[in-house]
Amino acid sequence: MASERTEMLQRDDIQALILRAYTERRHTVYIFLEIGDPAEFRMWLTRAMPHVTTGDQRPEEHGGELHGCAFNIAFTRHGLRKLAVEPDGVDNYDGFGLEFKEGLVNPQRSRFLGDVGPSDPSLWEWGGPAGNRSEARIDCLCLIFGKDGGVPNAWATLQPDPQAASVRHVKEGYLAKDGKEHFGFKDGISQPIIRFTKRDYDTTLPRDRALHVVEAGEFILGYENQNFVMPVSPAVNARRDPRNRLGPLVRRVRWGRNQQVGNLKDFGRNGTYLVLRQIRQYVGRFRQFALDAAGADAHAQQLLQARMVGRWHSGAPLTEHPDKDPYPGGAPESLNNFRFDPLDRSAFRCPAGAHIRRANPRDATSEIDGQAHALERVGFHRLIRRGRLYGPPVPNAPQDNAALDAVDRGLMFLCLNTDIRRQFEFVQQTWITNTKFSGLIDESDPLVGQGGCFTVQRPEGNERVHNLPPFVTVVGGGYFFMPGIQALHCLADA
Amino acid sequence: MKHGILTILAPIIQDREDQVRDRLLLLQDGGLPTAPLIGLHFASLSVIKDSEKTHYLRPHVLFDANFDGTREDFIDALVTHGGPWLDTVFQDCEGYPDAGTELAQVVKNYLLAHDAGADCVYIAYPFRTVGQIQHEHRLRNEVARLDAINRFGLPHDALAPPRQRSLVARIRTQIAEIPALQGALTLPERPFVTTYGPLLGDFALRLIAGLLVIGAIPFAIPNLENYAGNAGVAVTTVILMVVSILIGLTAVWRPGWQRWSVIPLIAAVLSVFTARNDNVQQFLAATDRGVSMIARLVVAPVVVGLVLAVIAWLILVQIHESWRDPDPPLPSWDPDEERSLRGRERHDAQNLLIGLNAIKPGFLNLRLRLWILGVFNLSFRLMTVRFVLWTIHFVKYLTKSGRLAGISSIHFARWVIVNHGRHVLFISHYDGDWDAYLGDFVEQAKKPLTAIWSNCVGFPRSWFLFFGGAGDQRAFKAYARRSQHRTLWVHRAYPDLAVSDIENHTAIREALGSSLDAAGLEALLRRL
Repeated sequence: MASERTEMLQRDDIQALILRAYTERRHTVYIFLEIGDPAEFRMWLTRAMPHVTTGDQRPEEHGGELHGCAFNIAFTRHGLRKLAVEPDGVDNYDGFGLEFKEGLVNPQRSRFLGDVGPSDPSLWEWGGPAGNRSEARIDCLCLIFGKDGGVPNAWATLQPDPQAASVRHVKEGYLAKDGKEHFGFKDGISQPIIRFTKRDYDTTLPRDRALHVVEAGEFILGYENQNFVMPVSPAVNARRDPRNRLGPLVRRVRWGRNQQVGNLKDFGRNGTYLVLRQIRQYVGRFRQFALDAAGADAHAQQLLQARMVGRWHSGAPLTEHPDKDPYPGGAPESLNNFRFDPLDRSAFRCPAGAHIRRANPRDATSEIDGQAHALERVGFHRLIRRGRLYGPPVPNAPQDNAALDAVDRGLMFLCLNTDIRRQFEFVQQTWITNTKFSGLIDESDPLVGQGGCFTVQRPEGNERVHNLPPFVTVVGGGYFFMPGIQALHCLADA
Repeated sequence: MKHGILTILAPIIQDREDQVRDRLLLLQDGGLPTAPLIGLHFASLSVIKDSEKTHYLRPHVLFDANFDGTREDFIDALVTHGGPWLDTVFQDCEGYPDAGTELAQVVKNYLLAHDAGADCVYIAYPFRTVGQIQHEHRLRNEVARLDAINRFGLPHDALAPPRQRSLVARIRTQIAEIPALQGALTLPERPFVTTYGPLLGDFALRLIAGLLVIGAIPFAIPNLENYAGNAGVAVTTVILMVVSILIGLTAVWRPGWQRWSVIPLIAAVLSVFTARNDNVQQFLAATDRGVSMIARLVVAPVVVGLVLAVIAWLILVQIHESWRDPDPPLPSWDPDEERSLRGRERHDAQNLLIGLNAIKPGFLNLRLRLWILGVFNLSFRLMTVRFVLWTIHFVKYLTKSGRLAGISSIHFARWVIVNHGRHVLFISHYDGDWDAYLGDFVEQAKKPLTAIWSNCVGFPRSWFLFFGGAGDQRAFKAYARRSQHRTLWVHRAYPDLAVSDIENHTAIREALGSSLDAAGLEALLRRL
């Protein structure tokens, strides 16, 4: 029964990154390509296609050709245009979101996402605006995930001819063995459970369904979203699909019937939008700040850092364990089954402005805004995160804080969603950088915001920590579209 | 003080639209003299028009203002002190005197005559004046500063309750000594509607629920004589009836359950059809004999008639929805327009949305309707939207949160039916980002929203007035953007305050001005 219901997703048409985090494949390489001759590139794409990991298979089923690696691919608007898929829409049908068409680098967007000052796109390592050192036009992003040593060999197998595409930038990433990011916190704990996946039907998992299960259409185009409507899907003209790989583009019209829209084909089905941001972390600054603000006591430092994050270093949420880290040696599973209400309604455990409360307020807004249905509202703004680290790991031996910051290390933040504006940008703007989030006054996210002030709610009255420096800067990024398999075939067709 | 509003719509003389736009864009905030500004919360200027043939609206200057006091006083002050400003704004409008504000009375009459008023007004903090809001803002900053100073050097955890009390007492004395904060420790006026609105609304809901249940009980109790010799059916019926009545009674007091108070009534009606329940016949027979004649002849027909009328109306709307209009266009965004609108929006504080939407023509086309009805436009879509707006206008403070549809980010909002009933104009001064605001709207209030705007051309397809429509968030947002007009000039008295800030500041003042128990002290300190 359960397995039949999971067939609701066309797993063989979905790139596996949406459904799987490849946690056992700890090494990653992000390869940014600029398409040369489109015809040559199509030939390469046809050749590479069999290697693309889909949702119905495990990477080892590729039969060793890719050295046990997983491979996924996504395109920017420039790349799609070169392959004759017009991002501005066809026949008056506007399928791609405006955000995707404009791209991440856009003065207005930078302003409201907080990419200003040291995070200004003109200073980026890749993906920056025209006329800068990072201008290289990026058309295509290849993601390879593998175990030790497999990744370079996989890329050697896949690598395109210089006429087809040239490599503009390469970035290596990895998952730490203990799952912690550079600041020392366990990362990637809170993930939505996608409707119709195995985890959705796995009744053995202890979990709070209302808290975690999100409709598939929030992350994969072609399924109903949290509003129970189909997300708007990009389309191509039927002429662009000579081999008839794509289904017709339909919309629901009166009396619940489906109607084909013009002569259009559904290019978006089983695809999604991918947001990639390279975020440099200043670990030294983070440690120095805790030392300055909390004094030499190790526990006080840990507590301050944990309050800024909302979890202890092991990942245990402060809402459940307010006093000390219950798992100093590493945490067991299931650190994510908690709500803020009613246990932490007044935010005495996990501060109202803590990172996890801003990034996913769960049911927290119910008390502060006096609003019901907080959980339902948060469901419209969930993200699947597939972030990984880059740069050398923070050494275990104690080190000078300034020396720590001289090394470039950080997070390759990657998230997947079907409406960039309503999901990624909303979270970034209305929650993370919002200076008035949940009744706070003039402060942003203590971990990834612009710095300034951070309020810790205490029964005795608010405690304010001042002079937070920014602990991260954005040094690269872009909006990509990750097509389904049939759409990839369509791209490769002449 | 009661708030006043102005929605002045002045037609622009032909071919001068571009001139007017250019001129309004050059206006600076300082251009308006301070005297009328003292009580002015929000004001804006824009040019609105609709060039569609079927619902044409020639270019108009739209001047929207929210202020303390009556509109007559405000216009007086504006004409007296802001003559040159007014002349700059309206000099290209039809009928505005050439001599401008030298003819003060003529201008006053002109403005009053062109005020379109509003069909539905919402104010987040009615009766609070600009002066009070700014004063309480200063108070909060001062209290936070004093709190930090007095606490300096004290370990945070050492702030035990006795200390809290002395801390607050000290802050109170210090505040009382600051001349700029005179009167800070007096209690502000709390308007009845916002204080008791939610309670009243809850009471009304329970009253209706209670009446429904109590009214249904006599009918729901089966007449056991009719079940003689059929004990099984009798027992089942009695159990069902008892359960339904219990559910009904629970629904009266349990929060959020009030909708289930119809269950006893449904059970009673069903029992008439399915079982031998002749309570209705007995009731009717009794009314023949007794005083309840009025109930039988007047009340019952009116209630039944109203219910049937509402159902018939909804069916009519649905038939119209499916019969006449083509499916609305797919959601699409004009990137240039989007960029220009977004470029003018501020991203962390207050923003303004002005939307103009054409009301769908009724079953008769416009020319025919005008011919039959003269100048009165009686399209039933117009009647529908008017009825919905009036309903919202009267019940808005009665919701659980005391806020318009539970949305906490609106300062002032209003809907105005303009252009002889051909357009709905929406003006909203709100907090934060446009997308978040409209998202809130959709998530909190999609049914009321759909009930208003599904009567307008181009809105996503709706079902029976309330359903569908705004549920498609992207289509709704695209629709809102399409109907949005650019704001050319805007004035905000306290541009950095969110509604939640204003509420918080008032609460701090109230707490400082009243005697507090331990919990109250803690709550006050947490507000800083």
